[in-house]
Amino acid sequence: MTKFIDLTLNGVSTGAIYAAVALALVLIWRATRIINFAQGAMLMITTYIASAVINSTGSYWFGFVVALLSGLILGAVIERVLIRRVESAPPLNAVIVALGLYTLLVAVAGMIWGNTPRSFPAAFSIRGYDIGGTRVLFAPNDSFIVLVVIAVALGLALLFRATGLGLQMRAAAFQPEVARLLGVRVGRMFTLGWALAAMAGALAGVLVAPSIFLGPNDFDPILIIGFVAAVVGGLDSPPGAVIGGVGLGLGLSYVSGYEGSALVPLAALVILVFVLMVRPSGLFSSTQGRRV
Amino acid sequence: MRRLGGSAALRRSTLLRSLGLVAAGAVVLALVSEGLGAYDNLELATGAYYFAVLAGLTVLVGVSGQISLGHGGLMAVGAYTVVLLIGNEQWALVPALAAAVVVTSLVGIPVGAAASRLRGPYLAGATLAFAVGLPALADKFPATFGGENGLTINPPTPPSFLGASFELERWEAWIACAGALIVLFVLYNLLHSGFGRALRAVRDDEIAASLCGLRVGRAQTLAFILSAGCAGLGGGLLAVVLQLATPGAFPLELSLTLLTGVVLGGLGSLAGAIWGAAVLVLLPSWTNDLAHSFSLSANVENNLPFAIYGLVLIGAMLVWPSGIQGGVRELGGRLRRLRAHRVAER
Amino acid sequence: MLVVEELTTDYGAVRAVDHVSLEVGAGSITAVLGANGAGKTSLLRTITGLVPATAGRVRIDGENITAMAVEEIVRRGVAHVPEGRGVIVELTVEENLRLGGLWRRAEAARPKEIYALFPRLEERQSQPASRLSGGERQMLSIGRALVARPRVLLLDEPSLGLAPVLVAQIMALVRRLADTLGLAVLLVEQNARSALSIANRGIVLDLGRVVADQEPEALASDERLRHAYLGF
Ligand SMILES: Nc1ncnc2c1ncn2[C@@H]1O[C@H](COP(=O)(O)OP(=O)(O)O)[C@@H](O)[C@H]1O
Ligand SMILES: [Mg+2]
Repeated sequence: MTKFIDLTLNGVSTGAIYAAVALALVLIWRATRIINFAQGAMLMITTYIASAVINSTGSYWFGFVVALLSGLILGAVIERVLIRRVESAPPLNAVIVALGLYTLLVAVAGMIWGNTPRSFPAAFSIRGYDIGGTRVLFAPNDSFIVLVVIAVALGLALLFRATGLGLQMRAAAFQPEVARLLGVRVGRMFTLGWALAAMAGALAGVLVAPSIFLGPNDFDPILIIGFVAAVVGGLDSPPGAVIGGVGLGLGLSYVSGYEGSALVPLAALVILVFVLMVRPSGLFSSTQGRRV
Repeated sequence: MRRLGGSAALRRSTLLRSLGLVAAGAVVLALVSEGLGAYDNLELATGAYYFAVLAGLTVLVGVSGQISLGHGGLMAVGAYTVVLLIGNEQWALVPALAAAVVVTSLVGIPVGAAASRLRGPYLAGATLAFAVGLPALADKFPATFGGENGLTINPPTPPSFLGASFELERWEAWIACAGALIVLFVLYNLLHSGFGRALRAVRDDEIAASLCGLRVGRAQTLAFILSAGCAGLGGGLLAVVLQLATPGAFPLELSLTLLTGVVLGGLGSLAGAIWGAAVLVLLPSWTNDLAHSFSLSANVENNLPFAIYGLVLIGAMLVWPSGIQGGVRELGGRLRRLRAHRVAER
Repeated sequence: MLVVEELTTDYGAVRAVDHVSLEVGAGSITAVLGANGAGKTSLLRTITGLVPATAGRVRIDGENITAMAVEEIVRRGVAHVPEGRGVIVELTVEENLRLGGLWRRAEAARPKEIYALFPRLEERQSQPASRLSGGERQMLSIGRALVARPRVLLLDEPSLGLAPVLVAQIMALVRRLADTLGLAVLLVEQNARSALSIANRGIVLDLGRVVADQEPEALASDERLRHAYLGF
């Protein structure tokens, strides 16, 4: 029973991180109909930047803020400089550009910081809480992770639902041409979508980095599971991304705890196939899947 | 206009043309491999099995309009089939390769049926999870699949009539090229048949195609099975060339690389698959050579090839959105127009 | 108000709009008629900058807007209700309306003012627009265009797919908008008879060219034009 509780708690905290990654992918999908395969590399870069700032200033929080800001800038620049040029090309071209960007960023990180993984500090203690004499697998830092991701998800929900800017972003995503006719500066909305997405990704990066090591390739598994979470939740739906992320975090935590971590990728596949067979466009997507 | 001609005659002429292509290809490849050393023959073999996979993938992506990030996983199925049959059951090479095609096609049936229900990114996600999840099976059943270290087989022996001094690498290149030519022959004929037209119709407008009585889901499933079979053959050839099958030989990057190959080569055409295979073989070694020709710190030198590779991918997509074959075709069209212009001026 | 001079649009080798000139003054309605494929939609799309013009000019109050971006043209007071209405079905009725006036900030019309014109929309304000009927979508689409208080209104086949009663209502409304708000209206229609009934001027397009540019009464009584292009 304690094992079950431990696995549940652990699943919630890793699920929150998957949710942040999934949010990053969903925001970009909604804005520009592109699966951003470079997201893993982008958040790796911002985490390295945070690490450098933390090392030179000694302040975790300074590094944390710099990571988010650099994500914001990196996302905007990439959309402006690269993605805009392939938006009107066949959709696969954008996929290849994203893959090229991934390779380039990983290589650049290797050139600057080397390929040997390094450790990354946590914001708070990673010693599990003591509850009634037993130590559970949930630490103050996990509380921090969960709370920050909830805050970001709520902030995004507020932006999309309650502000004119969010309304314009949604309109630009659903029907760019009509949005332009209504005076929405669609290009800016796309850039903003990429910037916010990269910021959510940067957040996931600094949150997960303490529990893995920080190396050019070390974020790939998280990105893949985040992608599965986004697909399961429905790529159009930010709430779906959060639910998909936490759900997958829980499911994979049980699999890894009871069956061994080697089976985690296979379990992700099974969950994904099962969900897609029942709902071909994810659990919470508003758009219809194909019917023929 | 073509449909007005007798369809039997048309079929015969397609068949003849494809046989001619294959014969010409065989002669050229044999001559080329004659002139190559061991290392280059291995590269030729690599290009040939890449071509087998890319040709199938380009039918799936470029002609039927689906996407797959999981073809590396299908290659793994073919490779393990070949290694198990040759290593454990002492099968001969050709039947083992044929079995790899059959087994991979069988695996392709449920995957393709599932895929035909999914759209772009959802399909991408499902096939991606396939590519990532499948190698885990090898770890789960180490007794059968040899776990992390995989399984090995003995190298194929060149037949004695080729002479005692016939190199192993050249023989491997021949085997892989034979497989590639078979794929070329089959796909060329299929793409010029009613099936090819049906696939294109489905890609261009699913609803219109289904209104015309085409069974969209079935056509797409068939395309998936076909491309799975090609990937199985490619994976089997890979196993023969490398004499092993390990989970590490089929990482997610392989699947992504394959997709890169078809797009860079030019989607939807077999010629594009040839360009794509050439790019996949040559680009990494060129970037490597280029990177090592400067004297740089270790970190930079080790990562420079990847940086160049990434830049080439991005640059190619910005400059040639329709891939190499698209660029070649455009160039050809421009030359033809130029010539027509000259003729008209006279 | 709106002046179009020798406007020309090509899609590759296809010329969709061929040296079209027209003028619409404040408070007046110009009907653009013609068969399917005559180039009516292309004309409107070129005016709002969705498609680049090959040649010619578009002017609003004397200012040349031809090469401007869509967003800028909209900010000069041009509202375009596109073919097929362009309602964003993923948003609610109210969100669609608000969207129309965001760039205007405080000067935008309140949804209330639009609901006064179309009471049906008020009943459905918080429903997703996907639930609306064809007529209601047309009302929403016109209402959304009015939120930004435009000076020029471009309407692309507002009567398409609507019952005759609704068509008459929409036409009456368009006339009233032109009269009360001083809007310059360019009304594209295949339903020539109802469009001419409210127009101050009628233009007939064929293969992208203006083949007639007359008073509505003169157009409606020209047997040859009616048979060849107007279908009544
Ligand atoms: N995006 C496009 N690309 C190429 N040709 C087009 C495009 N849109 C319209 N056309 C062509 O331009 C001509 C005019 O079309 P359109 O403006 O839609 O006419 P209308 O609105 O009067 O029916 C037609 O021949 C049509 O086929
Ligand atoms: Mg039209």
